[in-house]
Amino acid sequence: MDLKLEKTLIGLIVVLAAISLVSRIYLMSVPFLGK
Amino acid sequence: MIVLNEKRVERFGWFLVALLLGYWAVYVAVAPVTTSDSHIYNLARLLIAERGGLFHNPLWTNTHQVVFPWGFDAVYYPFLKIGRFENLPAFVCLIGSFLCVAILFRRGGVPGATPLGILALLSSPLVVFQATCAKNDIAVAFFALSAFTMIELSRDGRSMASDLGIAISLGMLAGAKTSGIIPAAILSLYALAVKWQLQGKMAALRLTAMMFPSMLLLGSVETYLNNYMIYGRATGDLIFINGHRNIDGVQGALANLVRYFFNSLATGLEGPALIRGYREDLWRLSDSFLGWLSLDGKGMAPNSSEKIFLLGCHECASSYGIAGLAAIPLAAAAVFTSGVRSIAGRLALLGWILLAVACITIGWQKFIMRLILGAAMPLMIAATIQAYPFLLRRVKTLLLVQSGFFLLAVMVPLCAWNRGPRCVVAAMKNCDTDWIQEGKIRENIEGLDAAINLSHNKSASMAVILGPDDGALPFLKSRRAHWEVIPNLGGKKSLDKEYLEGFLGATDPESWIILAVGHNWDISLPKEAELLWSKEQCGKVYLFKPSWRKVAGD
Repeated sequence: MDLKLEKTLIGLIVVLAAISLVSRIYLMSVPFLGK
Repeated sequence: MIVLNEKRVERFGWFLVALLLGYWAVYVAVAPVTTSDSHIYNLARLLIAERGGLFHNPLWTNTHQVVFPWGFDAVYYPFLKIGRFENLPAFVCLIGSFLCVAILFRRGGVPGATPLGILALLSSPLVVFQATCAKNDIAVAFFALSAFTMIELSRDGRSMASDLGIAISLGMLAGAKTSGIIPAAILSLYALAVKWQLQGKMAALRLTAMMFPSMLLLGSVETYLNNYMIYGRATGDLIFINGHRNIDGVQGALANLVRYFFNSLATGLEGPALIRGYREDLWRLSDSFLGWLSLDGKGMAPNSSEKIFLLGCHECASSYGIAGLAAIPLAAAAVFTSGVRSIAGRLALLGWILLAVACITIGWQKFIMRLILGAAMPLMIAATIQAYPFLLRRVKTLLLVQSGFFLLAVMVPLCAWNRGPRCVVAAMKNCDTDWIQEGKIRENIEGLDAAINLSHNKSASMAVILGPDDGALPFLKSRRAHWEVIPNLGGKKSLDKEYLEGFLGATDPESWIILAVGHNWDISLPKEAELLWSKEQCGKVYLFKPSWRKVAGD
């Protein structure tokens, strides 16, 4: 049970971090994408 | 006859938790962005960056959009793009915090206390408000808590996964908000110290090797670079920063600690009529106490005009309620009785240290209570671990306390003016939801609605003049596909033709509907702009034909 909770928590953190990273990279690259 | 035992009370607690989380999940799924901060900068900055990027972007309308880290604001971006579930990331942080509670309570030897701990957090108005709005304070609390939880798990000599969890949590904590930077530094040192002590130098080095890239990638480093390019300082505009910090050192920190305590002497559920006299009396009492300590007026944020406690059910202020107040003596007891030997003691110590950091660094202002969420949540969780063994001695008392927290938690949406069932129903029908916005955003939206209608009627493109306190861009994003921003960051009283044309672009359509919204409602525009609609203190809508079109026509 502990391991399952730990894995879920890590999964949640990784998903939030991935969304943050992708969004920031996209928003920073907007001028270069010619939008 | 039903025999009351610990297991049954715990199961009943889970049932109550499920009811509350069900309600809040529905709210989060249907409610629009309501917090004025999000309308003005947290989410507005994403829509502005979408047009001109982060660097050299001339469209910023508010200093907050530039100066603050945006690591967690960026998480809202996909939801803002699809126009739904904008409040979801904050709610996910709350769910993540509950996972931390479950893990910590198991390790603390009180797994049965998990529903009680969750109910205590759900009964705290400020925790719930921050978890159901598009802000980043709950993210600071969650990532601090998850880093602490992962550090606790790594005490067993666990796998790479917990190291990865620590590194990512700390990176996100540092990048989520300015108030998360020092907590991230403190937790980094704590994590390395624990690793070194329990698993040796190599384990500490391995963690450092993971933390370094995580901080670089997730710590919102680019906002500091942007600040350096704009203000010549990585931390941003010096006047802005000095206007928000505690400039009185230890004396200011002590004064703020006293104010935090007095601000906690409320349930957070009181209505505006009931609270008006009480908050003033409480502020006076706090002032006299500070005068007695010779700390009168210390610790104030120089730029803040209104400082008095807000209390009541305000989504950006309020208080931590009964659970928050009870956590103060219990979390103090956790430190004194078990010190760093138990999870409760270590968690309480973390809470007190984070509170001290907030007291030292942040100047007092009326919205300050949400900025100590990162300290308040560990204190409340530590308090539950501390109190549970005593409650367990009498199961009836445990049941009463659990039910009491549930009732307080039910009162939160019922007492909040924009979180109740009526609001949920209106949001579900996707109609008549403007009334759940704060007054100034409602005015912005009224002006935007008028401008949207006129731009449809005239088949014109639309632009909006926004100053530092004007917002509702998330609203505009969901209602209209194309629009431009004309920033008025300096709060100019008049804008000339060249300035307007500079932001509208030479290849754009023949005519523009320009809205001067909110604080810009009486701004003066060139004679070429024809007034179509006006409402005092709300906005003016103009029809503007750029000069290049006339030249082309001639």
